Amino acid sequence: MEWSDFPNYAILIILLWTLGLIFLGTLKFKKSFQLIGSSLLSLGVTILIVLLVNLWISLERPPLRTLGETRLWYSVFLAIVGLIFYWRWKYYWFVVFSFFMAGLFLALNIYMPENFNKTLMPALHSPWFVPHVIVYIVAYALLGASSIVAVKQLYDNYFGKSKTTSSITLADNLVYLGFSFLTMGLLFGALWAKEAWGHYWTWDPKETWAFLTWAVYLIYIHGRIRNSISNKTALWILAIGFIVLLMCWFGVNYLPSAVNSVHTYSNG
Amino acid sequence: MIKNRNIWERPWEYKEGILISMTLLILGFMLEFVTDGRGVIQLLEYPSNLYLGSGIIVFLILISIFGRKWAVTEWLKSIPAAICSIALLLFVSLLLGLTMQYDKSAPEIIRKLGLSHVVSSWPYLLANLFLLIALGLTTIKNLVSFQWRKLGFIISHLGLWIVLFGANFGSVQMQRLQMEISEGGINNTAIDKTTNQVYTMPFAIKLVDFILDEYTPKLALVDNSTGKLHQGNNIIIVDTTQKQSLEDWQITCKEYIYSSAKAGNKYYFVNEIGAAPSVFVSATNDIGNTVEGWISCGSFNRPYESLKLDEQFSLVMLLPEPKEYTSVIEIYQRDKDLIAINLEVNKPMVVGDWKIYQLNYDSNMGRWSDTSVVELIKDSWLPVVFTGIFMMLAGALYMFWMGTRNKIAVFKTKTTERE
Ligand code: HEM
Repeated sequence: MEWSDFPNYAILIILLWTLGLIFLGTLKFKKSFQLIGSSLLSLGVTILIVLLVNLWISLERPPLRTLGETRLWYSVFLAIVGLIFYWRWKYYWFVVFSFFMAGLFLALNIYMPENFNKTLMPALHSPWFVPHVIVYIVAYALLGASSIVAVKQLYDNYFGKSKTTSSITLADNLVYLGFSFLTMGLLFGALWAKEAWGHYWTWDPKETWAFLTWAVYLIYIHGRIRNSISNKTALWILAIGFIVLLMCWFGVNYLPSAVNSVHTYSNG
Repeated sequence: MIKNRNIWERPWEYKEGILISMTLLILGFMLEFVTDGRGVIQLLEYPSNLYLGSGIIVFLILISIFGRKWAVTEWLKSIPAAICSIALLLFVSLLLGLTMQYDKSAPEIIRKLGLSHVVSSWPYLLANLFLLIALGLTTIKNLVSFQWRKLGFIISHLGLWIVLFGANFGSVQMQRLQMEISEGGINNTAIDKTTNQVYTMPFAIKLVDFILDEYTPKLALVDNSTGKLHQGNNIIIVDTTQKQSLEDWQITCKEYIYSSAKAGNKYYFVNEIGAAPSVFVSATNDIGNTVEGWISCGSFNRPYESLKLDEQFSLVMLLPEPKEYTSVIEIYQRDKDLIAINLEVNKPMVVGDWKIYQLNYDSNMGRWSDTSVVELIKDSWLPVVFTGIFMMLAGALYMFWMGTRNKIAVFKTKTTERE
């Protein structure tokens, strides 16, 4: 695949997903509709994965360097998380939101095409590169999904009918999984940094924000033990956590403190 | 939860926690201010780092034995203390994440409050001590009353404690030196770049050869009016097999010479020091105008050449980016065999207590560089930190495996215990 074909594929995938969601949503009780719906969603995901593999081959390096490339992975994993949790818990709204987010990130890539050049600086030629970034993106997808749950629940509490916070159990599941990946990503990063730059932690802006993200979810996890903090506070922490996460992922590049960061490759 | 509890009445919870965190924060800024923003560097230097570190361990053990029943100890082992201590460190790190560090032009007050050097400031140290004490006491409590179902808890919490301990008190002892070697030369001295102190190493390194592999250069548009790179979809890689586009222009690379020199108004292949890449391009725009010519990025001893496309844009070649660089080196040690290796980025090698990293080269000279800069690092606390890191990794895997199951189990047993 050439990068210039991307918009066509992305639009095809978004169409498939939209159709799939419609099938899932209408006549929820009919088994066959559910099957068609989830098949369409899965087909879209499969095309996206093939696209990524092709990109990997044509770039001759893992497509994990620029923000645009990481957004593609994010779409894939968020969609997969949506599907799995739909099969497991049958939350229709959850699958809608996670595919909506996944589609949004694809659309972002249509409107903000980045340069998909082949160069990769020497420090990135490392066996750590792929596991580090993939683990992080899985974590981001799971934690992003937990924030979707939190925001939906908060909305229902403030404006909707529901006064309970029952879906916080779903959020807990997502956060526990996501946080274990986040921890692995952080530690892989530290081990890699030791190999590449000689020190495992230098409080570089990207590292600082990665730590901040990690700490926010750590607070959530502890607050949830024995209901030490109220459910509403916990949900707010998740909503804020996602902002910190996005800051770490995209925002750091724009901070004044990031001019010396060794981690902002994407403008290179 | 007891609802109508007065502040400082047992058990302490969040109100007390917020007060304690705030007090520590303000105390930290005050200490920083009265010491004129010098930070805590001396306190963490060898050997006082060892006194402070062992002091903490002794303190934790003593408190665990004799102060078990105090209100403050009881609180330090609780969830509210965990949250308040994590939140305090989070806040201090947020300051670190938002401010420029070691910025000479920052206002005086920023420096005096320690905000220009957060990681060696009092607020940061106090936040870390708070976290080490709370986490330490919790871990000791759970170690003493060991149960198998607490194994995951103990591995991740003890792991984190060890990492924090090692990173805070150990990394200050890390030695980080740079050695510059020229091709054919041999060197046994290295410089600490922060203090400019020169050290004699227990080994000498000879640079046999320095090899730099480059990517094919890229072409880009430059705004004629500003002389700056045009933003947007503006970079292509030289490629003679296909047409590529830059804004309104279709670019064809007709002839590419990796190593060339100019003679007359044409470039020819040469193999000499400083020979630069060049390419003959033909550019056509939407309305059919075609411009042709040679461009080159030049090198340290050759000029560059660009091609003016129209009033707005010129086409330039960017200096090729390094793909990989390698120092072929020989290491000489007293009474030991000579070691000959290729040192690459990301592939450090160990010699005795030292780890040797490929760091840099003379970037001005690019692939013609005949000097290599290697970094020499001795970090005697690394095994400690790595032990902690691997424990945390095990803890993360355990968490992935168990999901929330354990939390619910703990939650259930705890509530029954309370009733
Ligand atoms: C690596 C980071 C950490 C992880 C993954 C983690 C995870 C957990 C989990 C899952 C629990 C629930 C108990 C269980 O499932 O066994 C827990 C409990 C707890 N954690 Fe952490 N935690 C971390 C760091 C911290 C820190 C920094 C503190 C703070 C000082 C802390 C203090 C506590 C306390 C006080 C409990 C309750 C223990 C009890 O009930 O005896 N944890 N932690």
